[in-house]
Amino acid sequence: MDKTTLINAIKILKKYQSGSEQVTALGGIELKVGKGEFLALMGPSGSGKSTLLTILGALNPPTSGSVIIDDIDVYKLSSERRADFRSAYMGFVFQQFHLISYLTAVENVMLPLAISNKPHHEQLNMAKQVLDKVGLGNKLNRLPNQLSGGEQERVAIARAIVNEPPIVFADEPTGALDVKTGIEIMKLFQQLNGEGLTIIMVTHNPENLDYVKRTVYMRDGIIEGEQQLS
Amino acid sequence: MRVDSIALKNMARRPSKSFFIVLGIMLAVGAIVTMYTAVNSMHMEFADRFDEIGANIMVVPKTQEFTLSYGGVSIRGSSDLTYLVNDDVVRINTIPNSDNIATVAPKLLAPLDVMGRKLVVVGVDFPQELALKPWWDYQGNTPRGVMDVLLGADTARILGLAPGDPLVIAGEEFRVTGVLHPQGSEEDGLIFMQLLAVQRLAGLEDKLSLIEVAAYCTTCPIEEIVADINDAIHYAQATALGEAVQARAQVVDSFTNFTYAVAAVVFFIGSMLVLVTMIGSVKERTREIGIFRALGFRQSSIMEIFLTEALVLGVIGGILGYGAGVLAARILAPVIAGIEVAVEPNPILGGSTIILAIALSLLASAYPAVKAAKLDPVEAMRHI
Amino acid sequence: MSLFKIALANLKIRKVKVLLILTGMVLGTATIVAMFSITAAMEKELRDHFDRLGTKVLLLEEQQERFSVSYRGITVAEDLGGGISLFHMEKLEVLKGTSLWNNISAIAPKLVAAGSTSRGETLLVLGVDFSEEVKVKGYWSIKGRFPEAQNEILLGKNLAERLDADLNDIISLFDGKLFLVSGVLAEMGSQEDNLAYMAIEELQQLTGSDGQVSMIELVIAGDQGLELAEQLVKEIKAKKIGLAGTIVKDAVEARKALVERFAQFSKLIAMVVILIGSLIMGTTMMSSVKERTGEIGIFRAQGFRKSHIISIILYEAATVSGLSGALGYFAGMSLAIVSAPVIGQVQTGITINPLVGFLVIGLSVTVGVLASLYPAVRAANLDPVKALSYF
Repeated sequence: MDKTTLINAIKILKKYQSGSEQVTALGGIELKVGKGEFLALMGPSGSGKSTLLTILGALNPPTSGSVIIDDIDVYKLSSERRADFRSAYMGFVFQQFHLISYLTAVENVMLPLAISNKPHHEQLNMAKQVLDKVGLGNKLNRLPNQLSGGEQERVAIARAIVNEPPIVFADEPTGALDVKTGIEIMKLFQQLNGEGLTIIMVTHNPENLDYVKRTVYMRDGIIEGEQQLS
Repeated sequence: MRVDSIALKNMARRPSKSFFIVLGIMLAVGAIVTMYTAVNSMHMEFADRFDEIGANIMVVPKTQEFTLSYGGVSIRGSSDLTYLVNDDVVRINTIPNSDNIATVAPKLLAPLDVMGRKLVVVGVDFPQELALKPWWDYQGNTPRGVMDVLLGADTARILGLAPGDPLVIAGEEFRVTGVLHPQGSEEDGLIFMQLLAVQRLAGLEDKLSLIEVAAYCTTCPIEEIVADINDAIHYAQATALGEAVQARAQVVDSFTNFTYAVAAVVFFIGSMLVLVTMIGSVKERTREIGIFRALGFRQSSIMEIFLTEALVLGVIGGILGYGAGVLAARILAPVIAGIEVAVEPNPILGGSTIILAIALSLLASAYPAVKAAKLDPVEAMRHI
Repeated sequence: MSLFKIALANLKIRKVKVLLILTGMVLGTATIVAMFSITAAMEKELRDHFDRLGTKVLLLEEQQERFSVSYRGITVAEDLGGGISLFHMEKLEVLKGTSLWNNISAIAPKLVAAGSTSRGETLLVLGVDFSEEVKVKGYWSIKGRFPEAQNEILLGKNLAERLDADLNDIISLFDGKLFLVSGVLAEMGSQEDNLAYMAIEELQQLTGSDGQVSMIELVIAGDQGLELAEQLVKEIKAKKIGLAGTIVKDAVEARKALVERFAQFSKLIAMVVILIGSLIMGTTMMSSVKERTGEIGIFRAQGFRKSHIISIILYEAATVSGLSGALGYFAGMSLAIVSAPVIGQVQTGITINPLVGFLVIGLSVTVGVLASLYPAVRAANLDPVKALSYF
C-alpha cells in the first residue's frame, strides 16, 4: 500500500444483548483504510458490515478494540468531542437518506455548517456549490417529499461533503434506488473519490463493485477476504 | 443558517404540528386564566354581596350607663342619652379604608306623640336602610320621602293602620306608605320615618342615635375598618357584629377555600397538560436527533434547537392562551356570577401563567431532548 | 387478524405514544371529576351550614300591646305600657305529638328580669337553657365556660366592664345571692354585650315565677325550615293556647338566598370545565390520529377499504378513551381528595359517586371517538401514495 493509513481499526469486538442472549456482531476486526481509498464492505445481511461502518464512523462505540483515525483514538474521546470529530472528519449517506423533512434541499445541505461560525451567505454559497456538483443546482428550494429518491440521495451526498470532510461513509446508498439511478450515484461517488475523498461504503449489490478500488468481504462478524481492484 | 433557525423552520414548515402544540399550551393557559378569573370574580362578587346583607359594624356614642331594655324589661341608666351627629356619616365615608364601606345607615330614635300615645319612632335614611335589609318585606309602597312612614307589624296592628292611611305624629300629618311583615324582632313594634323629619319633630336637629355600617371585608379585615371608624370619631364606639363576622367566616371562607381548590386543580392540570404536550412533541423526534448527532451536532446544539422551539411555542401559546382566557372570562363571568362583573386584565396572573407555560415547555422539552441526544446516534435513527 | 386486533397491536407497540395520549385524555376527565367533586363538596358544606342555622320562630304571649322601646340595644323610652307578660312553658305541651314537633331542633326559652348588685348597679338578667341557647347562638364565643352549677353566671362584654367583674370573680345579685362568673362573652356588638345570663330555673326561683318564661325561640333545622316554620305558626294559632309565633326574618334568610343563587353558578363552572376537558381530549385525539397519516397510506396500499381504516382508528380511540375515562375518574377523585387540605372543612364532603364515574367514561369515549372521526375520514380519503410520503 503506497497510501498513508487514514483509518486503523484494531481488534474491534462488538457484542449486544438481544433479548436474553448475547449476540456477537463483530468478532475482532482488523482493518486499515488508506487516504483516498474507495472501499466497499460486502456481505449478506447480518454479517456485521453496517455495524462496522457505524463503528468506523465514530457513531457506535465497540465493546472492545479501538479505531484510530488520523492518529486520534476516536472512542477515547467523550461523546461530545466525538460529535465535534464527526463534524470535522466525516460525512454520512444513509440508505433512507435521513433528510430532515421540514428543511429544503439547500437547508439540509447547510445543516453541517449550522454549527460552524460561517456567515449565512458563505454557508449558502457552499451549499449551492455542492448541490451544483451533485446535479441539483436547480432544485435548491424543494422539500424532501418534493424530490425523487435519486434526488434525495444526491442531497444526502451533498450534505455529507459540504463540510469538505476527508471521509464519507455510505450505508447502502443505492439500496432504495432503481438500477439506472443507482449507477448515476455510484459514478458520482467515483468522481468524488477521484477528487481525493476517502469513501467507505456498505453494499450487497455486486454491480456497485465496478466503481470501488477495494472490497472487503464479511460474514458472521469477521472479515472473510478482500479484493484489490485497482 | 444557524442552529436556532432550524427550530424556526421546523415550526414554520410543519404548521399543523406546531398548531397542535400551541393549541395544547393555549388550552392549558386559557383554562387556567378562565377558571381562575371567573371563579375569582365570582368569589369577590359573592363576598361583596354577602357583606352588603345586614350591618356588620355598629357605631354608637360612648356612654357609660344608659337605659337598657330587653324582652320588654327596662332598667334606667344613670347617664343621659348622648348622640352622634350627621357629619359622622361623612366621617365614616372618608376613613382611610373608605373603599370598603358598602352602606352607612344612620338612625335617630325618639319617643314621639303618635295618635295620642308616646311611641318610639326611628328616623332612617330609607334608601340606605332598605339596601342594608334586603330581607325586609312590606305591604304598600317603598317609603322614600319625608312624608312617608313605614310601620312595624305590631304597631300597625295595635294602631289599626294600613298602607295609605293618614297618621298624625307630633301634631303633623304623615301618611302610612308601607307596613312591614312580622320580622320577629323589635322592628315589629317600631315606626320608621325619614331621618330629617324625626330630627325636626324631636327637636334633635343634626343628632343621631346610632349608625349601622355594612363593610366589604374581602380586601381589608373588619377589625381595621372598626379601628378606622374609632379613630375618625373619637366620641363614638364602633363594634364588629359577632353574628355577622361569624357567619361570614363560615360561609364566605368555604367559598374562598373553594376558589383556592379550583385554582389549585386548574393550575396543576394546566401544568400537566403543557408538560404532556411538549414531551409528546419532542419524543417523536428522536430519529431526527440521531441525524443531527451523526452530522456532528453537539448535545448543546440539539438542546438549543429544541429549547428555541419550546420557547417560541410557549410564548405564542401562553400569550394566546392568556388572551383567550381573559376573553372567555369576560364572556363567562357575567353568566357565572350572574351580575355584570368587570373582569380587569390581571398582569400578575397573565405574567405568571405565561412564564409558567414557557418554563414548563422548556422543562418538558429538555428532558426528552437530553435523553434522545444521549442515545447512540445509531439507536436514535432506528426510532420511527 | 381482526381490525380490532390491529388496533390493539398498534396500541401495544407504541406504548410511549399511547401513554401520552392516555395522559392527555386522563387530564381532561380528571379535571372534570375533580371540579365536580369540589363543587359538590362546597355546596354540601354551605347547605349544611344553613341547615344547622335553620329557621327561627319567636313565641310570645298573644295579643299584647307590644311597642318597642329600643332598637339595637339603644333604649329611648321606658314603659310604654303593656310590656311583655310571662307565660307558662307547659303551653308548648299541646304541640308534642304533632308531626312538626320532631322537626324542632332547638327550644330556647328565655326569662328576662331586672336585678341589682350589692353595690347598687342595675342589670338585666336573662334566664336561659344553655344547652339549647348555644344551638340558637352558634356565633357565641366565650372566655371561660358556660354556667353549669345553679350559682354560676355568664356576663356580656360591656356588662363585665361596667361591673368591673372578670372570670372567676364573685358578684352578689338579688339581695345578696352570690354568683361565680364562669364565663364572659366576647364582644358581639349587640344588646347581648349588656346582659347577664344564668340558668332559667335559677332565675325563675329567684323571681318567684316558676315555670314562667318571657319568650321562647324555636329552631327548625333543615332545608324545609321555612315551610315547616310557617306550618308551625299556623298550628300554634289553631291550638288557641294564647301564644303567637313569628318567623324571625333577618340576614340569615337573605344570606341563604344569596348562597343558593351562587351555588347555581358553580354548576355553570362545572359546565365550563366539561367544555375545557372535552377540548383537551379532542385535541389530543385529533393530533394523535393526524400523526398517523403515513401508516394509513400503508393500509390503503395493501387494499384496506376506507371503512376498515376508520374502524381501526375508532376502535383505538374508543379503547384509549374508555381507559382514560376510568383512570381519569380515579385521578380526579384523588386530586379532589389531595386538594382537600387546601379546602379545609370541605374534606368531609367529597364523596365517591359511581354515577359520575360512568358519565365521565361515557363522555370520554364520545369525545375521543368524535375527535378521531374527522382526521380518520380525512386520512382514509387521502391518495395512498401521498399518505405514504408523509413518512
